[in-house]
Amino acid sequence: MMRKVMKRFFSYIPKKQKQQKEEEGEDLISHLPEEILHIIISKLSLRDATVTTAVSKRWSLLFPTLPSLKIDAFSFKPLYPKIEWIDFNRFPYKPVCAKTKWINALFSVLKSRKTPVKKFEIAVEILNDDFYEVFHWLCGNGVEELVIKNCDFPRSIFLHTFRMSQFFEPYQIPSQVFSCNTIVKLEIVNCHVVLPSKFTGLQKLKSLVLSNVTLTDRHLRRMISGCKALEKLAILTNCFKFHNIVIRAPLLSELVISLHTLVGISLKFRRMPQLASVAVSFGFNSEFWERYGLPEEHMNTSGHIDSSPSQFEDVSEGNDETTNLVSFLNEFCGVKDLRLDFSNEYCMALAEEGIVLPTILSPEFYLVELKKLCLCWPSNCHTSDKIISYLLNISPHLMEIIIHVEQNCYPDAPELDFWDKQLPAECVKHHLTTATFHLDSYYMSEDCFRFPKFLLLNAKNLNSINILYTLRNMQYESEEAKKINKLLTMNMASSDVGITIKPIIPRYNVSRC
Amino acid sequence: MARSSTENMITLMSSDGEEFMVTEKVARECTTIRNMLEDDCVITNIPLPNVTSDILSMVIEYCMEHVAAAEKAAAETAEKGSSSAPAAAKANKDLEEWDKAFMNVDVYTLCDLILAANYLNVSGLLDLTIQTAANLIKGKSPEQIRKTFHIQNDLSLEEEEKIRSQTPWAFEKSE
Repeated sequence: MMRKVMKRFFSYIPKKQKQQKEEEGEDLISHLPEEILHIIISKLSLRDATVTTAVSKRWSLLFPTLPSLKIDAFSFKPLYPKIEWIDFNRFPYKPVCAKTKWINALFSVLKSRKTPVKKFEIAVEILNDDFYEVFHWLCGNGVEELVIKNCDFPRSIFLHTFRMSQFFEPYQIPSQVFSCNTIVKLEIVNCHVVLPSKFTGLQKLKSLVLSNVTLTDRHLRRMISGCKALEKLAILTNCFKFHNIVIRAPLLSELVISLHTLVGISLKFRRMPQLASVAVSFGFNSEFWERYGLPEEHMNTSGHIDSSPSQFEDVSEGNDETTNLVSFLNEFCGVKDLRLDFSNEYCMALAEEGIVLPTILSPEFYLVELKKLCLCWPSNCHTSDKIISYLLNISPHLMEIIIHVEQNCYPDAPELDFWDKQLPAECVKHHLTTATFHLDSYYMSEDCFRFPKFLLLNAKNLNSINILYTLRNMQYESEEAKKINKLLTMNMASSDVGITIKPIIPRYNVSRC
Repeated sequence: MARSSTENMITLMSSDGEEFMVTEKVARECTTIRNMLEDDCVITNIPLPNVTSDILSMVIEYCMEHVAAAEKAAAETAEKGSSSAPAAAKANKDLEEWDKAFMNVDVYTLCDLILAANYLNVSGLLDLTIQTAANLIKGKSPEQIRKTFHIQNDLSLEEEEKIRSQTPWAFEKSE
């Protein structure tokens, strides 16, 4: 251990009198700057934070002036007494007396505010008319960041599964929120949005996240075109009531969207010169369940929004996923960073159609700006290979590719010369410098390395290739690395490629080492 | 360790005139100093009038430990070509343990460290010290908080009673 601190004492500098802090009884913490004391208090639960108001005069003013409040079911007295983890069999578990107490506690905290709350986040599933006043007060007092999650924290993790969404009653966002001109960031989870008729837009809004939100195509369009300063937009999980989405946002630079199908949905992006980063996930596909006969109770969940078949036919451009995928990708010609997440269901729907992507492409289909591409698959399959090759062919300037595969089973491995036939694309020959593969060491076979090998053989400018594999058993670390090394040994197109092989430990294994 | 001769050394001077010689890498852990170095790269002597020598030596100790941990991890990766996952996890845990032991200080030192970390802008140390202070408040009654931090209660009985009655739920004994 290098200890290079050399202490020298300069005698000609008079040593200041040592501060008398050591003397008993000096209160140093109260003399810390207010910003720091605010940070300390923000790390406490609201209950502990409230207790600090009875400590002294200075402290009595600290919590009431805290600029941000984060509230969930456990903020005050536990809303659900004595449960450590949510018991799914006893859902929903809402003792009424605890709920009233909880709401009263929230109101007492809001009443004690001495300065406006700039950031407010609430995550409870008991949102109802009682909360009208809360949002009314916040919006009238200059709130800048507002997060309204109509669900409890532990369960929000499961929100992505379609069955969970059935548990929540959507909460209708009070109309004041849509006339509040101080909001910069707005996030809404599991709510119902109806814009007031005199909605004129949120002038300062820069970031909008809608997750599991029901609103009509028309309201979404009005909402987005009304927010002229919008820079980030995310439309997530189960917002599957849209059919005809037109996004017009001149300053938008980041878009995250999750879709369930492209059939019957039309997405148009207009006037978005700043759009640089896009992430799309093709999640649960309602069509899929219909086709494969899954529980009917989960069908037709359109809820409040009526989706008449006539509207459906008007907007659909093609009637298969593949055609729609091609025209959908075409919307991203100015994007620099693209991430596509494919679900099992979506891949199966594509495979069922016998996906055939165009091989001769006119430059109008090119994603000329694309520099970084990230693709996530539940497992390798012929469909994924076809999409990779299609994307490489339409991205002439691609520099980095990242491929995540959750499971490496390869039910239909491509013929040996598949990659040679499909590619090489322009970008592989001239621009690709980095390729990263996330694999699962469980089912690693030679087939999984066909594409990395193809890149090593053909990509002349490749600097680094990273193989990151999920390691389930520590004991096999060296074995797995050897296996990958062996699978990758070959001649390379570029002489100075750095190959990194690195294990990733799944979270549940970390504690064991 | 032969490279020490080629590495730039920076002298930090505490408020009470003590000088500490550290490598540039360690000094750069403090964002305030990093910014000074970037503005003026020939600077080698930095007076820190807001930090006493005992606190400055602790801040340097923290920065050195964290720089050394990062260097060790980097060296291991370079040596083997691939980093060993269990070793990396262990190193992380060791550093956490070290942080925890480092935070075994009295509340005066803790407050001084918060101020120094804030002034020198050492984000890791600021997070660590602020979290430690918050942990000292967690679950305590107002009396216990006052005792822990030697805070004088300057609220009159009526004032305190009023505060407590506004949010009675916060002062109920938890079962």
